[in-house]
Amino acid sequence: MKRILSVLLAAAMLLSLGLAVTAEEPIKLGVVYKQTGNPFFEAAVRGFEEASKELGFEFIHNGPADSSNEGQIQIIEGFIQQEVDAIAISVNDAAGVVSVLQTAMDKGIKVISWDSKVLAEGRQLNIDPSVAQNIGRVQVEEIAAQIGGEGQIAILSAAATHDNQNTWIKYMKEELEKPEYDKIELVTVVYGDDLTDKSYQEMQGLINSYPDLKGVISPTTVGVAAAAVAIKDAGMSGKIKLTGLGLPSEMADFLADRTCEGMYLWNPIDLGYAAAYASVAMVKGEITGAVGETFVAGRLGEREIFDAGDGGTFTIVGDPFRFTPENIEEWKNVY
Amino acid sequence: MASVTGKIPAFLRRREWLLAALVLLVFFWFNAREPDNYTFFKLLNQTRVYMVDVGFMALGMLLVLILGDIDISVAATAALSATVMGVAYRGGQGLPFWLSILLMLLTGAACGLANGLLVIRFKELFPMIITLSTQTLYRGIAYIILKDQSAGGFPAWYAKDLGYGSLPLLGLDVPIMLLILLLIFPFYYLWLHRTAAGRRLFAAGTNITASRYSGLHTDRIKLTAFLLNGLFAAIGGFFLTSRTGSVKYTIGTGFEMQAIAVAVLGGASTSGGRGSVPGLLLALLLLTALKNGLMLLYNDAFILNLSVGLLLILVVLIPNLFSALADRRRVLRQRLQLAK
Repeated sequence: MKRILSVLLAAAMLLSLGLAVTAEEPIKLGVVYKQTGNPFFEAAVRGFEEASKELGFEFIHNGPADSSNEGQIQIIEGFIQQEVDAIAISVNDAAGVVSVLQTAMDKGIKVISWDSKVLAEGRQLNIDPSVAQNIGRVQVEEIAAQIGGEGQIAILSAAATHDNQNTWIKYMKEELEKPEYDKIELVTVVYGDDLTDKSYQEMQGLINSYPDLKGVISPTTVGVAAAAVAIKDAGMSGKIKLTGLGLPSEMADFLADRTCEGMYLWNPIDLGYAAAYASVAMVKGEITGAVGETFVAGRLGEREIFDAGDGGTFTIVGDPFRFTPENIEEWKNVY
Repeated sequence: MASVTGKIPAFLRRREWLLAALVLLVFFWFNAREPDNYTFFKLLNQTRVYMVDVGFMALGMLLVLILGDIDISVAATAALSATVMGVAYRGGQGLPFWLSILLMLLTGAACGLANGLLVIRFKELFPMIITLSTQTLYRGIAYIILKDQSAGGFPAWYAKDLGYGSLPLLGLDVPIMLLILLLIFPFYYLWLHRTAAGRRLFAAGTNITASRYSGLHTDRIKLTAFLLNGLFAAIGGFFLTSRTGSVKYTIGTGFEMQAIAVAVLGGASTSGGRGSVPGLLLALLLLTALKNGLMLLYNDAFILNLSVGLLLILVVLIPNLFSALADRRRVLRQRLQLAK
């Protein structure tokens, strides 16, 4: 009897030990971004770091060197192998990672996208930096003001498979339909694939092909920085106006010399921070990614989940912020 | 003379044994460092990421390398073939899927054939230069067809079951695409190492002039090798696309170097006449085991590429250095004897 009791006791102790261990094992996130070495994503990772200090989760992060779809799949497969609890991804090809993310979800891994979303069937929630319509609108307003309301403009985008880019461009075109922009002509949309050299060449191509070009919108941090260099190299500073979404640290010099007189961005640190809080809330089962649910994103406060209109759901982080030659000094060392 | 070569360990002279030893070494080394994540079962699952599409491309590349030629355009061929398939199928709105696959294979074969024709027509140009140009050409055509868009919407059996499905086999979950690749190896081995057709290929690669004077149709052999290489590139692209579920003109960028690396690591020589199917399989296993291990440990894409370079130096250059040293010592000794 004693022996049975001691065996049972030992078993119970072992069991509780096992339970204790599983309960204490920290949540592990896998963060995937479009490419390594991109300062925007380095800033976003700082947001994940900040949240991880507050919430006590672990995270690993990686992006392909060549911003390829295959590279992202390789990384995701590695994260599945390491049994992460959630994957938070900014995708290169909205359709290209659906299958692999579905296999991740089949294994119980939560999947959210941030910055650039994956198709609805490959995610459980998307974190948008801001309302896409506003992002498109402010850039059109900015370039219209800079070129004085008339002339040819062009868009230098990242890649045609980047869902965020396409959505913003769609809203830019809608905005340009308005009567006050009648004298502005959008001549073309070109793609620099978020590669500095290709973006630079595309910008050179624009300068050569459209001698009457008055302004360029580049809604991508890599593109707008490369465009600024190309415009300056061609001696067109001030003649071709430039706006877009740029990192203050990368664009400070071009704002100072007025190659770019105004541009926008949201805080990538906040974006990573909110994505981290959403991932953890999902792993803990506090949210499932359904419309109407809310979660508290740390210092950013409460966030509500809305219908994204593509069959999936999303939530937003904040509003785009305008950077000018006047205020760039105080921001260029932040991100 | 015998005593000199006798000093070189036997396994260094037989590439396959060296590779097999390295596979085991790499596996157990990473297994010891990452006992939870780097297991045989999980590695088996990762073969579809590191092994299958590159494996098919390497099988084709082997033929061209045995001839002493090289084909830089295989990844571009794969991209163009996959693009043709994606555009033909148009997410279910276009041609039936089987017809799209057929068109894809034909595209791959046509690209290979075009390479072969150029190589035999312009013998004064290096195949590397010719295929370097066709590489840009093929990817350029893919870009003209697709522009910056991507084509997808493939049937679920392709993008999901073939791309990510596994079959339970002997208690293991074996990725379906790995099974298909492994099934090909024995036939490929028999064909290349055990039939007259395979021997002709090696003969033409060892000494093309002698082979021509012995009555071999060397041009026809070259054409066939390049055509098959294009076909294998298309098949590689087919399996790559089953994992991505969508095609962009940039798909598979850089895979040609991986294919060449695998074939060379497996015992092929860029000067022709050498190559081994078992060696190629072992090289594939080695790179899979190594890359996946590095991915887990360092989580960095740059280190993966670096590792391939180091491995090539280790396995290809060092044995070559050994035999070069042995040769020099032999010559020196013979000179000494003559001097006496």
